[in-house]
Amino acid sequence: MTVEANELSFDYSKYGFRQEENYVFKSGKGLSESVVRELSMMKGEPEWMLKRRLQALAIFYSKPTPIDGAWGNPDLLDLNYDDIHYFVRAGDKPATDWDAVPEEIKNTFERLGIPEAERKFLAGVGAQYESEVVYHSLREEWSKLGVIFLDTDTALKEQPEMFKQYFGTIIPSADNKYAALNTAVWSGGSFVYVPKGVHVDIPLQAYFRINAENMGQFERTLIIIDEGASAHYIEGCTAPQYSTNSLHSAVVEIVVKKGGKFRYTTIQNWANNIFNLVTKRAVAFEDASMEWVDGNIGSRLTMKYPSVYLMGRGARGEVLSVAYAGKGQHQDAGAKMVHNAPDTTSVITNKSVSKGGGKTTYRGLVKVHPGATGAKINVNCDALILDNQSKSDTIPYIEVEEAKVTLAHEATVGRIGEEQLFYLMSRGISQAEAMSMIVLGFMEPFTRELPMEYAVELNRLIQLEMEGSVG
Amino acid sequence: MLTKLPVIAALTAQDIVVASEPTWLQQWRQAAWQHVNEGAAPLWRRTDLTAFALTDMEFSATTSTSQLGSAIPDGVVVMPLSQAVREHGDLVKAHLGSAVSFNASKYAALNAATWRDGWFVYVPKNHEASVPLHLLQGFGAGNTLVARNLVVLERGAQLSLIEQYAGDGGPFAVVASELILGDGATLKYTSMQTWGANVHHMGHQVAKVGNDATIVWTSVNTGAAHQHVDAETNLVGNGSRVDWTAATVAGNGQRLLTAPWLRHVGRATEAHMDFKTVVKGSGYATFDGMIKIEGGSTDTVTRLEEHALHLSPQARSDSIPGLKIDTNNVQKAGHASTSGEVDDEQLFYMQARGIPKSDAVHMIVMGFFESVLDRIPLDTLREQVTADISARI
Repeated sequence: MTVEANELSFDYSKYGFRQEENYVFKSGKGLSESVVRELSMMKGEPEWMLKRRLQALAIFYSKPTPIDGAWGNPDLLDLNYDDIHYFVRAGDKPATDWDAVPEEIKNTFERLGIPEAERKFLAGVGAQYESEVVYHSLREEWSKLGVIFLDTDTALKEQPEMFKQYFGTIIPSADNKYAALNTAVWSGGSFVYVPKGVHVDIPLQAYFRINAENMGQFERTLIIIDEGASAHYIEGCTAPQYSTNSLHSAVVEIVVKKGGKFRYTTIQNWANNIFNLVTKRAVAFEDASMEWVDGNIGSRLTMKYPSVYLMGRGARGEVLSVAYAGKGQHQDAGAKMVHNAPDTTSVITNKSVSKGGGKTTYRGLVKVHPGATGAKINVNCDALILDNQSKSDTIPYIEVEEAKVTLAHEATVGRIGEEQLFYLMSRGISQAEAMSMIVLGFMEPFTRELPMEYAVELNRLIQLEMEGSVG
Repeated sequence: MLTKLPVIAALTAQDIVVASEPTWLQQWRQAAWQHVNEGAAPLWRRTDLTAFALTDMEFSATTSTSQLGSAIPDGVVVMPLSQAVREHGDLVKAHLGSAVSFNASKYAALNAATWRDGWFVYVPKNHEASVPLHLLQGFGAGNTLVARNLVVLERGAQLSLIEQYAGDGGPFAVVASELILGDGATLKYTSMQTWGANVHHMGHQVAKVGNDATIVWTSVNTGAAHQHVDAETNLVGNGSRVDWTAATVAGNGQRLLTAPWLRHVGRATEAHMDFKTVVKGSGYATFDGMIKIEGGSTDTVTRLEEHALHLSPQARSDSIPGLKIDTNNVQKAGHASTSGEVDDEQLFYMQARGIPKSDAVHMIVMGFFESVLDRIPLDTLREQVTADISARI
């Protein structure tokens, strides 16, 4: 089956094209108080949001770039904050139906496959072009159920109370330098509210895209799953290639209330010149379940550690992630699980592959606070290093302040076994195909959790990356 | 006490130098002292550096009371390091600082600059020491022990060495051990920190292992209020090996940290590490381990395990089993870590056989440590440590 997939033609231009820039508003490069004021004014925001942005800007300036220490990375030295556009807006205001979307942007979506997704009834598509969501649709029946799925700017206007109640409560501005930056200049992102007991069966999807040289994307996502409700949200990223560094720094805050169930799936495929510095955190209350399914394929440097704070008895958190680092890439990703209540469970499964001089780092935290009796934690990290130029680090922090816990952590690192290769090649499979099959098999526990279109796309991407891997 | 001892923070570059020592050593001490003064404070999130303040540490020319806990094995040179500087100057010059660099941390630098005591142990080529050598160190004048041990095994030499820190006093101990294993040498190294309850122990230990040489390392950490030990086995030689186990007990008020590194440099090196930790009362133990597989190494086999048992709900254990791998030429690399309390099923099984719960817990914990304690080479010492741990559980 894999061999067959290998023969499929792959339209790489889908990931590497760019459209002519035609923006309504684009702030100059660099960051300042006036940029933040201008951005907030153009959006017509309430005073409290402007204040919050300015506070966050001060925090951003006051915090050093985390180049060392437990969660630092020296690669960040190459990030030039002055060489980035902090706000770009395409189109005057969010479009309410497909006809209102500008033709040029439609072309972009066409190549991203959004119309197909529509035709397949793949549910509400919140598509982000540049820094703001310009197209949004939500299936009728969800509206009737009271499900809210808006771009975040609109949500601030239409759901001011709920917005203010939750915004910045899961990830405060002072959490880290990039959360502060996002809070100062955020634009776009998704806002989701699923009311009590409502089950959203079809995934909510948003497509994100960067399309201007040196442009930062600072989307802000806030998701509230009310008691007993359930949903699945999918975020997928693609980006064109550029020669200078770009920055993507998102903040995703999630609340899963009592008995709620939520899954957040990401496949990150930013261009290889982009710094992807993302803070993602969920709180899960009594008997709630939160799952992060997180794939990192693109970017120059990704630093992302999706977290679950288990706040109520019986809460469950899971992170299932893969990372693929090719030439010039560093995937510095992982997970954090914080056990704050009894009988909570967490599972972390991480698979990483490095190749062609790429580097993968798994960094994780498991924290069991006093009183979280009966906590059960299972962590598994496997790394595959495909050649002699590539690297892999595994840095798990485990802090246990409670006796009644069951914690197991296991990690392995290896290369593709010669016996495995020999076995496949003796059956007439070329070495490149054999390696591709082994890598896909290695990632399979992740891939099988994806919706089919995504799994197929991921497999193709990996196969593409694996081409020419035999040397 | 007639005159008050100066504190280390108040020393000058002149105070550091020992006039009778050769120029190379004087210069080395001064370079280290510069690092003490100009180097950045270590980024140790889990060690309370205020417990190791240079402004509290006194400086004395006789900081320790070193003793031999055993006879000197035939054919092995054992003497104070300061004496070896005079009598085996070339050997000391060749090896001092080659395993524990003073750049390793401010405290490694402090040790290099101000040591006055410690042991020199030398086993000549192909000599197999017949009996274990037991070195004991305790506090002498002043509140601070600064001691440095240099152990050199020539090609094919064999030795069983016990290095023990014991007794009350201090409270500051800043110690370093350098273990140099020539090609084909075998060292059984038993490192015991069994200080009294008030001691603040700061240690650096590095073993440099030559071609086809083997170190069997056993660490026992039961004493002190604070412990920060950076330990490393540097497998530079092709076919070099380490088999490393440890037993740590952190009870009420104790904060014990060990940061063991397995560094794979040569071809076909092999490492097995198994650290066992028990935390009790308000005890807090940290295992900050690392497997580092360097770029030029090939065919490495390495495994690191750490297991922590919690005997009380207030106790804390942190575990950071890291892997840094800069090559794909690895046979096997992995680590595993567990934390939890004594297994309910084991307890139930034993209670079902009429063993009271407290006895059952005790037996399980002693069984947990048995494989480590069994490796202590001297019977009396093993029995003493076993009884000591047993009494504390």
